[in-house]
Amino acid sequence: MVATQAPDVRAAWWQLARIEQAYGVILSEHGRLPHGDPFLARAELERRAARSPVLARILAEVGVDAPPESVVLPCDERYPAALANHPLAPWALYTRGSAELLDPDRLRIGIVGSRRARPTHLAHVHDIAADLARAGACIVSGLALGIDARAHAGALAAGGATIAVLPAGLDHLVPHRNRPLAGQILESGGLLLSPYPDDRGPERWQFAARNKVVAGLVRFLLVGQAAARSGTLHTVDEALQMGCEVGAIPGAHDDPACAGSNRHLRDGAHPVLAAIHVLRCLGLDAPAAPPPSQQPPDPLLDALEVPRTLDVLAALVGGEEREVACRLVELELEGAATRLSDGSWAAAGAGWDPSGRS
Amino acid sequence: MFGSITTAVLLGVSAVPVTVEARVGQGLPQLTIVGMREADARACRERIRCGLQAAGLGLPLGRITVSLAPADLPKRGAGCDLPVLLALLVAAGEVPAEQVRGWAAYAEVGLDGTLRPVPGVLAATRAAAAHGSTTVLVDAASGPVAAHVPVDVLAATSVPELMACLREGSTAGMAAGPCELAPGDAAVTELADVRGQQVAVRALTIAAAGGHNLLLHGPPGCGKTMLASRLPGLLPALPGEEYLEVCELHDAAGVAPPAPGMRPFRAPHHGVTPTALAGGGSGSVHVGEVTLAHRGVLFLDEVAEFRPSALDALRQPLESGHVAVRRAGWMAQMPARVQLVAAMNLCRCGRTGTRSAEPCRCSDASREAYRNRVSGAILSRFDLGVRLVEPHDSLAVLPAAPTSEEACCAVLGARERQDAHNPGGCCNALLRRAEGGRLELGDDAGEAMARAIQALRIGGRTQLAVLRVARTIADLAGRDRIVRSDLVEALGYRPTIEAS
Repeated sequence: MVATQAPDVRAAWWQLARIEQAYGVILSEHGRLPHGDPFLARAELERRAARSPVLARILAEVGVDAPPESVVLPCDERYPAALANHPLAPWALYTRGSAELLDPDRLRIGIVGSRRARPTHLAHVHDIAADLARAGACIVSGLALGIDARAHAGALAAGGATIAVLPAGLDHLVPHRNRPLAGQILESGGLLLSPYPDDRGPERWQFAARNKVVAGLVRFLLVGQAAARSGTLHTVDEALQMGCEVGAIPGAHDDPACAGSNRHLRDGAHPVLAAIHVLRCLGLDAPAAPPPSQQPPDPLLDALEVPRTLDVLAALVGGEEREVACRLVELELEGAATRLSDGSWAAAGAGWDPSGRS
Repeated sequence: MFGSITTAVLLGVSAVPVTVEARVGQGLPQLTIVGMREADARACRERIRCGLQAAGLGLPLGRITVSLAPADLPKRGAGCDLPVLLALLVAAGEVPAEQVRGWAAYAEVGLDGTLRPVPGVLAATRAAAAHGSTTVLVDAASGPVAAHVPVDVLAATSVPELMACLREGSTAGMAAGPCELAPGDAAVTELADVRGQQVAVRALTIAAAGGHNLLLHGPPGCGKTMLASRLPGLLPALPGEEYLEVCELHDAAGVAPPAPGMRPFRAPHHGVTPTALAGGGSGSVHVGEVTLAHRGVLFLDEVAEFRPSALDALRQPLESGHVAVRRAGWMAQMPARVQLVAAMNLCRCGRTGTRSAEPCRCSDASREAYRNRVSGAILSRFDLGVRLVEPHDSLAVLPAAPTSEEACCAVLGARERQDAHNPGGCCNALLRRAEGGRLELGDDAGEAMARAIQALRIGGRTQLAVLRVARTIADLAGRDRIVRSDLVEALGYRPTIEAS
């Protein structure tokens, strides 16, 4: 861990974090404490302890220890600068995985959105995340179902780096269904991060702190899809306060599931149709497009652009269903097509497969 | 003053021979039946008393004891009425013991002296014959059924008629000959009624040819039930002995057997209890649907709506081909070699995959919960899985499937190859990997399999299912070796619904 200040400053921050850990909630959320200086904050806590016997007992119990390696404290270089300047920022970030993804010179892009997004948006987010990861960006999201999970999966599919920020301690990976994804993130050299100590279970009010950390980590926040009243809006507010750029993928004008993201666009967010729009907005060059393939296009592959059932495919390309079924299996063996869990077919790698297999 | 006669009691679907002994001794007039539950013994006693009165006879005077041996066997059912009555008559000297030597009897006695049929007559007759009885006496309705067993069968309508024959000393008037076990031809459902669904029809043919378990999933109204009901028409007819075995099982359960030569097709409702589906019970043994479907098809429509405990009760029978019911003091084994066909929707509301204007509102979690109602252990028993789609055209313009007769011809050809080449003549669905040869792949097919294992990440159980299905496809085409196209087609039918 890179310490930029004297060890006693780190230890002081770590002591504050442990007081918070013992107290059970993020103290800074309970009322403004002087930020930027752990000694001032500690003094303020001692003043408050005069009125709170619980706090007084905790202050007496928690001593000054050396912080563990995996914790990132506000005095560290790797603590996000945008977050360090925030008056209600967490006093410690608990990490597991490759902490160098938090280096200040890393380009990090956040992708957040609805848990129950439209399949087209999910596939789109997967593609954009993969392209951004190929361009060297680290994808930050919240490991939630829906858009978040697809953003992580897209980055992983492109062999890129990704950070998952959790609303609970790292011993409580939520949601349960994304545990395999969290495992993949760690295996591929990604990072799991939480503003809460490892043994803290998931609670509804902890999502706000998670959203704040996501916003503080990134230079650009992309809203995949959000309804009018979505937790995503909270992340966007935080991101705007911390001065990062916000973009959104447009949805149909009358689609209630896209009402939130569309409103951001109207309010001035960058419209994002592809990864290049994000990169241009940040003043970066787009990666070179892959050379067009020399093979003649297969009409069956073209028809698999969106998931289709066998009878429709047979009608589109012409031919007996049985024969088309065999051609599809051949494509599957080549890794070009994939069968979805509902039995329909789609092109592989386009992110249609909700189980995340590619 | 002693009489003895053989009968049998049902335990599950098999009958156990029982010796009925009667002795009239000195003492106050009294009839005691031992070796049977008290409640059943009381009912039996009253029926016999009335039956004797109807024939103009009374209970012999004296202390009468009737014993059913072995005494520790749990006995139920009214089939003991007639043997008890006969043993009594012998003990009372009304009928000479010589005349009924080697006889067995199995029927219920009515209060007016008529003899009534009791379930399990085929099994009881067979058990008595195996026990050494030369003549089996049953009621008039059961006579032609029991006559299928190679033993002399006598049938009487009532106790008075029986007494008249016995007094004459000639039983020729009561001899019964075999009849058809079930009335006429069943209305066979025609495969050509199906329009479109080419892949599903093909999968159904493969399932029929190789005896594979088949899972159909798709939106409601796309023809899953229709297809499944066409399966019995594609299966080869049951040979005589096996048909008799099926009839015996149905008879033991008191259910009408399938039409002659037809395989049973059982489609229990999804509210079925575990005991009704797999068989069992505490006091007596109920015959489960899976046993009634022995050598035929067990169709579970809306399989995800079955209670999971009922489905899981099928795990052992599907693996071993029989149901073993063990209770304190006794045990029964019932055959249950079935071909399982199941149908389910894609989600609970059923709108996934339909073209209805109203979209499906099921969440991913509820979809997953719906799929998980069928445990992985059951899902892994399906060799074939087909996703049916709603027809995109009007049914009138879609091509019709081949007729049942054409499909059945192809199935018969494939079955002949299996009989000739498979170890023990089993169907392909029962082939094991260790049995080598038949499941071996040619070079290009082996390469495709290796690719499939890697690219599709299919596990050992699925690999075996794919190999068996590929074997059946090759048999349908009359090939000795499995070629690449067989394997590719089989891979297309591997079940995709996986429990997660």
